[in-house]
Amino acid sequence: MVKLFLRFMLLCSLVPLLLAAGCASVHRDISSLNEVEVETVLLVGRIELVPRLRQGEQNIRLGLDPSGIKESMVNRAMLGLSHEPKRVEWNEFGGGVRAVMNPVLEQTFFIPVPKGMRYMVNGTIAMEFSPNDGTTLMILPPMEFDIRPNDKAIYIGTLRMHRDEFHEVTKTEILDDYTAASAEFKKRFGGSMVLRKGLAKPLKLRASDG
Amino acid sequence: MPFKRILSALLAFAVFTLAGCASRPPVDPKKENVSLVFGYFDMSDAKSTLKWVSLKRYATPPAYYSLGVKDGLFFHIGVEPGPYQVDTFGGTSGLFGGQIHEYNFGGQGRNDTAIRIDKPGVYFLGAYKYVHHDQGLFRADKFSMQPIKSPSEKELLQRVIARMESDDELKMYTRQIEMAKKRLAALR
Repeated sequence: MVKLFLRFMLLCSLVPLLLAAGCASVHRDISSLNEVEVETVLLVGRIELVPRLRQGEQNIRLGLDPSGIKESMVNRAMLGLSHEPKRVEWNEFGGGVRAVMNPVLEQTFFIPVPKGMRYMVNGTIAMEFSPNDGTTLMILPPMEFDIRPNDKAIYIGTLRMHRDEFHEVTKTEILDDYTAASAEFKKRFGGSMVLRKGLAKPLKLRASDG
Repeated sequence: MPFKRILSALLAFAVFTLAGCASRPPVDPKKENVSLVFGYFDMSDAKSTLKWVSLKRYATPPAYYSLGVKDGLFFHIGVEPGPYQVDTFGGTSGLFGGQIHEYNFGGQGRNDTAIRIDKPGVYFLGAYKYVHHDQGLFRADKFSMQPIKSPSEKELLQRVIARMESDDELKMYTRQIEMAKKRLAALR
């Protein structure tokens, strides 16, 4: 009974539309700069897994899915953002997380987020999800984005995570693929906006941080 | 109350299915690529007894083995090669055992029971004690599984062998019993 309840909570915690309706907003790729709102900054980067996800490796089984929950999980990551550095449990998308990035894996993402959201406080990739299972790959947070007041778009790097067979991240690298990302940026949006390089940095929390 | 009963019945059915009673055929005693896997949970601090342990193979799709349990000792005599760790475990409480409890050992990455079976043999998942962490009135309680040194691998393996040799359905697995005895000899 306890686990049933926990699973229900897990389901709720991962539903993007519930998030959107609650405290946190969900942010995905955009294709036009017109979609960048005031007081947001366009984050450009990439999430990579080594080894990559195999075809069918994510076992996401949902019955009725009118909210498109499965789409937010398959080949995507969920990165919880906050305006303050703090410890937030992997399944806590409520009070601790104020915005969620939902990038597609293995390709450059262009996602606008509110400028205050400079801390990635949790992150997951759903590996198995059903009423009977909830296995996730934990992206090792926290990280800090170097968002400055005048920034319109910044390149935060490629977050490459090496994993073992138990979906444990054994090593995390932040790689600088700025040249390739910048070329993609110009191809997609033209040359009217500058993409500043500001690689994400791992953040060490103090005991008092949440 | 009827809703709780329906849920209990559904869970009981799920447990029954997980326990292999409804789906997994008996292990062929002649099968040579399978291993004996065992471990121990002390549930004296838990609200429930230990009735089942589910071992998960990390594959696409994943596979689950239900391990037989007696007095905290659990084992399976037919585990195929692959990466494994304990997924869930559970038991019952209440006067007639009507309340079902299920616990997650920790599936967010590797947990302490993780093993990789590359060749047939005897694999020890470890001995752990369920430790309850009271979170007060307004938060859900938590638990942790803390490694313990007693009972030891040797003591538990002795119990596995004794159980297998005395059980009519298990004594036919002579290859597994021999492997267990070899491992026991190595532990002496």
